[in-house]
Amino acid sequence: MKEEILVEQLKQGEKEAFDTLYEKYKNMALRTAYLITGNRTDSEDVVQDTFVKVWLHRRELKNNSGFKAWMMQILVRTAYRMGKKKNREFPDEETVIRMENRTDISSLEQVMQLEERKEVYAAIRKLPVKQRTVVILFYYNQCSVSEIAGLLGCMEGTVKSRLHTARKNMKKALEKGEEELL
Amino acid sequence: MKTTLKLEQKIETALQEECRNIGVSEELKQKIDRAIEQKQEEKTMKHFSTKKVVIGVAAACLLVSSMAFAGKTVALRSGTNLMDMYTSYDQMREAEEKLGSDVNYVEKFANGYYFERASVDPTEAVDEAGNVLYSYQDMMIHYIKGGAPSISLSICKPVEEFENTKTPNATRDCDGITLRYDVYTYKFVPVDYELTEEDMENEKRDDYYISYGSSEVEIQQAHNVTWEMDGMHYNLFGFDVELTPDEMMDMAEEIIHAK
Repeated sequence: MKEEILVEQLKQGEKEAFDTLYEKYKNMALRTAYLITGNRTDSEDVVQDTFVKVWLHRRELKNNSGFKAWMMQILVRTAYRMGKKKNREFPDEETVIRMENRTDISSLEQVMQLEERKEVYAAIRKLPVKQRTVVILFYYNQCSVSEIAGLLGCMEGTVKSRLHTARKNMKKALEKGEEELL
Repeated sequence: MKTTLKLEQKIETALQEECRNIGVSEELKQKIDRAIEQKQEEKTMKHFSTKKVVIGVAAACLLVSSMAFAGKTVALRSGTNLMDMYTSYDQMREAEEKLGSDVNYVEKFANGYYFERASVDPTEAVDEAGNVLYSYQDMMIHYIKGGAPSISLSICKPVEEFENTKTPNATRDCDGITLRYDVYTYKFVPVDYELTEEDMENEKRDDYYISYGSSEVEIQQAHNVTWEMDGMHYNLFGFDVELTPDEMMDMAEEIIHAK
């Protein structure tokens, strides 16, 4: 069924349409929330709050084809608020444990790749939340600069500037890491 | 340029890999549904006032709003359990069992409105202190037709404590049963809305209601046909419906003749 029809049914209060949209976006929403908050429990709370708001404010969505952007806007703002409230930083241990537990590592090259990914991700986590969010939306959610500007309620120039600064900061952090190894 | 491209690829891969194995737990959806129910219940409570009773958005219980309270009850409390929604007409026997009464309803009306969903929810009458005075089951059946405003049928045991003081807009006799047609104006307003002088004047009317809890100010006309049959109170209603009083009373007659 076309998403616009589902969204119209959602606005009419049809629970089945809500359930279908939840099924469609739940993993994407959880993963985005996880990348922003860096914490599994917080990310589930963010997704819960987001979909509760989606249901309660469904009639406020003006454009039926804009459901995903609208839902993502709620999600990002909820994740921001959650981070601010808990003031919790990235728990490195959680990622390290999950990566070390993987069983598909069989060669030195794979171990090296894994290490590198870990460093890149750690550099992303160290970015200030606004830069980090722009990076996640751009590289993970594949949103365009104008879409991100719409989601965050800021100018396109601000998004470009945050992306540029984030890349610069990450490059610096990764180079510093390499120097320390030498 | 090559370095930048490499970094971009690394970022993308790192993010994808980081959350590749993360999935939503089974319990999350149940938690969401429970949270929605709770929020809706809280919202419903905000609608209560000593004069006005509107249950949920779009008023699940216009039968009550059209009556003046004569006893201790100041509010009716209800909320639809989303998990208990009957979305197939075949489930209506089950709904009747939950209601505890054999009642009349139709799957489709001659004018094209057809069954969409139904629910049977407990409704509690509460006094000013919030004490539950008594409770009863209320069946709500929703009918839709293309893009037209939906129509709902509410069936519950008559609440003797209430009396309707309004003069009906129209009446009709159907096999000895009196059908009563009424039109009410509802002004839905946000919780923090300040009443204007005009609002206060309108509130004195017996066909005008102000309901708190909407996100913006909206005025709608509620049209309803009520009757009593076999010890049950029936209310067929809709907001801003495009039906004449006769057309709505014809629908009521179809329900009366359903069994």
